[in-house]
Amino acid sequence: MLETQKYVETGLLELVVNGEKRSVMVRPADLLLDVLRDQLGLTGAKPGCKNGDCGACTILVDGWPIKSCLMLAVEAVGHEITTVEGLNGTPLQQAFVSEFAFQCGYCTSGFIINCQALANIHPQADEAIIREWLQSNLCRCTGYEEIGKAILSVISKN
Amino acid sequence: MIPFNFEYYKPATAREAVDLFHTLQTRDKNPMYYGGGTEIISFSRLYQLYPKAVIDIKGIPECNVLEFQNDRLVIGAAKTLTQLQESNLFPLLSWCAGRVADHTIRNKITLGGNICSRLPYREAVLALLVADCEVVIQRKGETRTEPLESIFNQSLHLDTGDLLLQVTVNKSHTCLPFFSTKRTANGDVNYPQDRIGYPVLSTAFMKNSGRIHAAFSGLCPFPFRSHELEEVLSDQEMATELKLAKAVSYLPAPILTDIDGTAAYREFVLRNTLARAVEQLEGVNCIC
Repeated sequence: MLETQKYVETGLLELVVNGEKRSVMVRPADLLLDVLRDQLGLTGAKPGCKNGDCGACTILVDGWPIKSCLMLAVEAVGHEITTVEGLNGTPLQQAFVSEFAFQCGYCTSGFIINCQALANIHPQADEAIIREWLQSNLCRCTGYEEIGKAILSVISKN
Repeated sequence: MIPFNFEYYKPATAREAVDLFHTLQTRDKNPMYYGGGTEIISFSRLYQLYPKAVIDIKGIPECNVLEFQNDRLVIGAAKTLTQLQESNLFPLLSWCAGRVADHTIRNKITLGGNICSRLPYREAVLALLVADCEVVIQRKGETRTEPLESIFNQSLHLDTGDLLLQVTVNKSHTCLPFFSTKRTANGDVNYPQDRIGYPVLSTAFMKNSGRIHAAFSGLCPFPFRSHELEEVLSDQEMATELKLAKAVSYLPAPILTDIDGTAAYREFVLRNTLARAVEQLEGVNCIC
């Protein structure tokens, strides 16, 4: 029979990040974004609004995009976390380069992670679905046209 | 970061969760059930919530069900809005849930969290209200089922420590004809969602045995279903103009004025939406 998981004070936790088991020391109230950046040095997930609005901190949890500023690190136990550092030269990343889909680059990792999930989950996504998914991320340089072209170029190959 | 700490528990059964809640309550831990956690995290970060303990319900099997069981669709409180939308087992619910926040956040927001939210909009509730759904509640020592409408009056009224486990909908109601709209300050929201924002007006209409059911969000400070208003909308003999005038008089509270729209503008949108709903649902009986 399963038992209640319990984290009542600061302690060691094992997370699976980018395919590797990693130990972190967390308070139960620590956010996954802070733990990834401060303890694991995975700074690809960016702190932007830290309020779930901008999407710069997006990561994958079991393949689905999640804003890591709205997830506790303890919630990630037993799940597979993927950050942009775990992608390693995917066709989508190449497409962002080819289509010049970034300007200042701060939002890029969040967009790439979200687009990667979209390409995996809906490889035949139509424009309406792409539009719906991409609304989760903000680009203050307003590079949306190029970002849209990048994801479309990957989806169209499917 | 959250500027204070809390204890985190993830029980494996509903009974354990409720027992734990009462135990933590007696220890002055101000416990809160934790579904997606988006609201608890956001408000805690701003010092507007101070739980000393949270009880994550995502490990409870009953909270993770999403399937037809006999003649009812059973939806666990921990199912995310995206899961509801992608499964499309209840198209009106997909529509309403699919317009909340943005897509990535809907991967985290749960149905239970949306129903119990402190925010005034709670748009997923609209589909549940018009579909006459029931809720399954875990209390200390018992599980009980009640019509949602009997305990949803502006918000969900649960006793301290009660846990919303599931929502169930009559299977035949999941494929009744519906009409649903959302308008924000920036315009209409189409489906799949093409713009994000709090609603000036969000609606769900469903036609069941010739009668139109109607629920609204964004209009008043809480989501609501109005039977008096439905009576007027369903009256085949009444002229449309008279219907609209009467319908507006049956709202349960004054219409909101805020940064997204004045009361006059909201009423204008409401009248137009009611007219469209009546027109769309006239003569339609089933979408299956």
